[in-house]
Amino acid sequence: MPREKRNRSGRDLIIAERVSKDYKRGRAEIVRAIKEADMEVKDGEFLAIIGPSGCGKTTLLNLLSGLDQPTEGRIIFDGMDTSMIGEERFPLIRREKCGFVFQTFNLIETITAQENVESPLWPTDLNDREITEQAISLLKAVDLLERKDHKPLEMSGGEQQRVAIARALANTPKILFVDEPTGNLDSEAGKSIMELLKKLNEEHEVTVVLVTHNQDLLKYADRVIKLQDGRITES
Amino acid sequence: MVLGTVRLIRKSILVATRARKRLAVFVIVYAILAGMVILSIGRLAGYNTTGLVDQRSVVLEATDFDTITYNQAKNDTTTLSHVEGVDRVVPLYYVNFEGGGDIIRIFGIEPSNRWAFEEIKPDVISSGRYIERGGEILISENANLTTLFEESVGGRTGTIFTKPGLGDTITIAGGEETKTFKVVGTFEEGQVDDDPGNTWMVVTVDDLWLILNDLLRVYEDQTAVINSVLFCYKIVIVAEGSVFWSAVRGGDVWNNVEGIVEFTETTTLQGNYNSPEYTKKADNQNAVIADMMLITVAFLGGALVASMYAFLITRFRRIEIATLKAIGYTNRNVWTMTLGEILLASIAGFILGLLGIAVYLGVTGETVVIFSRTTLLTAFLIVVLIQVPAFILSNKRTLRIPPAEALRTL
Ligand SMILES: Nc1ncnc2c1ncn2[C@@H]1O[C@H](COP(=O)(O)OP(=O)(O)OP(=O)(O)O)[C@@H](O)[C@H]1O
Ligand SMILES: [Mg+2]
Repeated sequence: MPREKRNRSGRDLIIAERVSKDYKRGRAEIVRAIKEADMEVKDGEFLAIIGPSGCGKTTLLNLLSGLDQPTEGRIIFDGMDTSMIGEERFPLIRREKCGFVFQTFNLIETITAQENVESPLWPTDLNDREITEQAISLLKAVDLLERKDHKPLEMSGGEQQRVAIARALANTPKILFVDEPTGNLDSEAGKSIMELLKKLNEEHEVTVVLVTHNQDLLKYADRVIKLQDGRITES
Repeated sequence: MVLGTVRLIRKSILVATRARKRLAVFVIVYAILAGMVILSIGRLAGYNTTGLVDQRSVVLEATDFDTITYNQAKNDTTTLSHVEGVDRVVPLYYVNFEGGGDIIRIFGIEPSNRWAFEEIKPDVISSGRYIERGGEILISENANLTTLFEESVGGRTGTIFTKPGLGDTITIAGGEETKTFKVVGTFEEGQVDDDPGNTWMVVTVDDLWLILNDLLRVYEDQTAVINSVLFCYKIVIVAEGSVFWSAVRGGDVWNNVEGIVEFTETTTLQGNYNSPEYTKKADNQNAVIADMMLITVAFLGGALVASMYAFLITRFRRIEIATLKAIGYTNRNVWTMTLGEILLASIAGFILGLLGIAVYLGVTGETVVIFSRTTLLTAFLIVVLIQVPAFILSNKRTLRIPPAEALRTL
């Protein structure tokens, strides 16, 4: 099924080496949410990670994106061992290279769609005009320009998720981490979100790492990894 | 990163103003606190200003105008300044000018002692400001100055009435030379207990002597003249000690007040004074204890509410904060975002509290010096200061929110 992309070396953008993640539950119990996972994310691919609820998908995504640190093993992100990157520097790397799309959208409810899209750029040294231009062009790309002054709660779930995608793209990331993006949407809205992600991947060469339990989404992926009870069972 | 940080503060204020209900609640809470802080700072300041006479002074007022001569009062001042527990003695002298049957009394006061002159202290200034240096004069609001003139040509005599106001100049001719004063303020006439038609004016002590010396130059026996034109209105004896700490330490300042009163009652002074006026120890002590409670509540309450606010902001906005971190905000960026909201709420609260206090004072008629620059500045600094634990708390809490939480919202 893997399909060659234009001008892509297919080099590894992220490598997970025998990665495990433990959580403490209660006082003494330790849950191993990810067990000795070996995998990689290739530059430019659309990778789907699928598995039932509770199998550790979100945990794996957090590890791959550097939002969380593994208990054992290591993650090489764009050539850097994530455990070596200081806590203050990681946000800057995320700001430069990563975008996130969440199952529950996680937009700031008190501000407008446009402001939400702008928000990742607020701490940067771009000037206000550049930020606004970027936001407007992204809202255009997700076909929501006429809704730019609406607040999240005045929009449908599908629209909110498109705003969230526009926000994830504000910093022109190399890689997009997407956690169950259609979980809160009906199939029609879900389809448009997936098509948008596919388009970004194909036309703008954004690497996409998608985690889901939904088999229907697999058709959009170049490659699928199956996760079962914290273990990668098939890739 | 300066541009980004400034923008973050701007945006955090924007975000805060959009969460209208939350902001309103906290602005009101802050307003109440700020009001208490302002009021308590005002009261604290009052111990050395508007409350100086009430709280730690003994006043010896002349039994009548023009009865106590300069010499008598000067000797009494010396005697009183050696009494134990006396911080300073402020004699209030005036010179009379007569014309058209009415009297103009010109008082001299050191601007630094202005709070000892109960009748014409700065908070009864109705327009303009208090005198600060030589050449400046205060007059009563509706002063009608009567000047007698004799016109040599034609031999007629007549009277000129003038009603000087703020900014006018008044020329006082003592003997040969004239001295010109600028009216920098007027005071409420009701404060002065004198025959109607008599006018009061206030200049600095040095200016009073300039006027006087000029008057005197033409006379041989200056001492006699001084004693016939310069009189003492009252002597204010300020007791030593801090009103604030006295409440804690058993009331030493009020013990001093009582010691001074006892001295004046058992010693024969040269001038004829009414019995000493002062506030009883218990009354003052109760008032100060009430003030101290207000201050404590304001400070502790302020710190508590600010911390609570910081706690709640980071709690309400937990997912938001985790999300911001996930999309590339550093801890400092996130903290800046919460800072703006706290800052906005506290500044808006401060202004609202100030307005509230103005209304409260208007209704109760209580005189507290709150609208002085120092009081307001101090109060604002304190309001900012009691936020420090809140800032630290919010910083700690935002630090602790892991960005991974953004992905776990179900
Ligand atoms: N912070 C945590 N503390 C303790 N246990 C956790 C924590 N986060 C996740 N777990 C546990 O780790 C396991 C994997 O969780 P994870 O959220 O990664 O699953 P998931 O595949 O994303 O599930 P879903 O499809 O429901 O989102 C679960 O058993 C979960 O209870
Ligand atoms: Mg999950």
